[in-house]
Amino acid sequence: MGNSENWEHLKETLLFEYIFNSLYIMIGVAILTSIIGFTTAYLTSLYTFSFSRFFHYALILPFAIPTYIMAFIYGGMFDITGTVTTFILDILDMNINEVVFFDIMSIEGAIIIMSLVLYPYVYLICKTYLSFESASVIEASKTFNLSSWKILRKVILPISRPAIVAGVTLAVMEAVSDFGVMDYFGVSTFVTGIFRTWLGMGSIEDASKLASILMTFLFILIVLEKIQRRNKVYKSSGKDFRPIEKIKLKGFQNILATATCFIPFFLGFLLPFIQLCFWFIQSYDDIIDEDFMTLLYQTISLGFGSALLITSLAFLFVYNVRINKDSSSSVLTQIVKLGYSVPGAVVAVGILSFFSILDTYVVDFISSTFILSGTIIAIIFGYCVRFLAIAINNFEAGFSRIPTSYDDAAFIFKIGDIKTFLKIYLPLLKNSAFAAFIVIFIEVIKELPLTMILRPFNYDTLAVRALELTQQGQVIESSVPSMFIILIGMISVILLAKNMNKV
Amino acid sequence: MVNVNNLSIKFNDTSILEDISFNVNEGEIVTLLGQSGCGKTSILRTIAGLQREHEGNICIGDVCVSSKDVYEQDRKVGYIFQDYALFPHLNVEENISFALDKLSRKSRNKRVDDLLEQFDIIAHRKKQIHQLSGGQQQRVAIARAMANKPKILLLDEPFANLDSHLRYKTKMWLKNIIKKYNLSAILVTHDKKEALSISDKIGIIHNKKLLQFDTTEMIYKKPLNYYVANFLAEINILPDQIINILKLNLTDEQMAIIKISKCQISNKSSLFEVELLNKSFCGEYYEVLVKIKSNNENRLIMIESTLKNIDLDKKLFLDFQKEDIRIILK
Repeated sequence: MGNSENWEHLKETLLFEYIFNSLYIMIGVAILTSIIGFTTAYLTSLYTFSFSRFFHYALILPFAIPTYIMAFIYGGMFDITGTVTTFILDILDMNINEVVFFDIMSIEGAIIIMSLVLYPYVYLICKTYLSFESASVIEASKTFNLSSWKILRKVILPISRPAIVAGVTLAVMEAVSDFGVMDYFGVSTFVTGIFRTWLGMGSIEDASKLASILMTFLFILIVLEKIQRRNKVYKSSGKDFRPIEKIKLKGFQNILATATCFIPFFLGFLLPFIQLCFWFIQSYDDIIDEDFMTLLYQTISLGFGSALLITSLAFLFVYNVRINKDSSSSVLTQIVKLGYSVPGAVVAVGILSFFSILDTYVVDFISSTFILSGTIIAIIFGYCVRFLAIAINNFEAGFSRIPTSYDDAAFIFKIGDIKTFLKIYLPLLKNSAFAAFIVIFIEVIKELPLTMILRPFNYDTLAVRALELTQQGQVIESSVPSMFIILIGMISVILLAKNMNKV
Repeated sequence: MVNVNNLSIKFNDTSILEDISFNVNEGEIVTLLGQSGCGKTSILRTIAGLQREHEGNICIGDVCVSSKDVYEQDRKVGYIFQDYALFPHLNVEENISFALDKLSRKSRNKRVDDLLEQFDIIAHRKKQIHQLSGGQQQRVAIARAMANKPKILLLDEPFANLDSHLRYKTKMWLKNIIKKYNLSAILVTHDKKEALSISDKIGIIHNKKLLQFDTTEMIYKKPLNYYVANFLAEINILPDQIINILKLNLTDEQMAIIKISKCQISNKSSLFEVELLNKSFCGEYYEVLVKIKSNNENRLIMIESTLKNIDLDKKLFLDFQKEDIRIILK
């Protein structure tokens, strides 16, 4: 079949499904993450109740579990032959035909899984907003003797809307860019479509067309979010933000608040983590061998090398803007930052096209045996495109805390650029650099679609191995690479938290 | 020591300052006074070489520095930033020694010791910046600015971060330092009291221009125009009725003013009977607002009065000396 025929076929059969499913996922994830994220943020920001201090941190933990691992675990627990399903049926002494069974391996299941992992986006943004910036507005509304419900409905919800939308946009963008969950649950979306056309039909052109439609979707989403934020940014008018005075909940309200926060923590972290531990104990002996250690080393060194390179590049970008202060440097940095909003699969397809041109016209000129596509260079380049934005944001925040008068002081004392860099910027930015490094390290280790497409032949990472094992029906065995990914993520998060305390 | 001639500054084609000229002699404190955002700091930055683009000449001693050779000149400038710009990751002595990078380790240590002693911060030498009070931080900033033995000291709102009690003490201390080392100091502020108490000369900046540059006494006593007069002191613009009765000859560009401290009310009969509109207690005196009776104009007059020996229920009259009236440009 020719390329145009392929595309015609795709248009007639699958394109509508891609659009419908992607929209359905977007709406579903938006509703669920905003409900879970906002409710938990509202409760933990404005009230104290049993374990509220614990939930303050615990509610972020689902972030440590990549969406695809969550899907493997939930699939293994709740599908027809899943551990939890058979356990419940055994207790009830019934078989599957006698009960109303919710198939987790469906688009609705995918929405629930994505929402359980992605609600912390909404939780974190709303919590920061409610705890600090809105304190004076909320406290002012309390002086009018309104009930808590009325304050929530008339003040807190309307003023939190931009924060909710910002969090939901991030969650939705991640959901619509996801590959692992959709592939495992057999849900056809643009991203799985890109994989199917590229890996199945070998058509980079059609994959690019799908990628452009997906990008249009995401672009509209980003623009809408920016418009809503521009029109409605509620910021405290005061210069000094002070945290809000919390109200202590008692009796039934206390139980209700605790339960409301426990459910997302339980479903989003505790339950899957416990299941993962069980499977890990069952299977680690069979999986951890010399090959696995090579895989672990390969993944960690890829994460370490990429994080180091990306952090250094990001520093150069931001430092250049700082010292040159010209608009072109600033525009370049903003363009580079757009990479984070492009799904991994789309970045991968773009890089494949770009590198195939390079291979044909440029590299051949240097040496006929050297090609870039399918090498580690391609994969690291992909990570750079995708994750430079994270590091740049970290450094921009870091630099913004260094007053320009420091640069001026160094100039007056004729210290020179290199010494200024070594004596001022480096010590003052080491925490930002460390944070950027850790976050990128975790992202690279978790990354799946880009790695799948761009990796060299026979070059696996923990994430790819986890997916391959589940694709082969070895869900229990996939717990071993998954557990390592989660543990690396958790250690990094602890390091990050310690580093933040030092600031 | 410092001569600024026809200085003009633009940011992205927008003019910030136009045709600014003034000079500062050795041992002299000059204050540039103006509202926030009027471009005062840009003048300091240009003198220090931090602001590259400008027109006009800046001469420091015998050397004139233009925008082209800005970096080649050793300007002998010490700069005290509004936020002090002390590095939070370095302790007190490291902050001071930062400025002495060109010296050998031995001479650097000696100079740091001298400065710590001179500025009375030797006890804090190992402390981090956040462990110091506002006043101590300012001493460190001044010690650092003085490290390279500058001839010119540039001070950007140096007292803005201090509370009022500390502000007075620091102001006097700083004045003594400047005089002791015979420095040429240029200070920018928006606080007129601060400017009047510390400066030998004052320049008022408004609408991109230096409106008046003169000795502190002259600029206070003989302001050129309404903006300068109003900026430095609280004044009343005299109503036409007073101008006519006193037969003051004013052109269309002129107005007659009198400082509110020079006006009084009394029960003793004068040419102008007034009606009391409001009085507010201000500690040592009352602020009294009056209107001249039988005057169609709505122009009110503010008076500072102790109200001693005045019966407010009786007829009240405005009392002032004709020689306290100033005729100025509008």
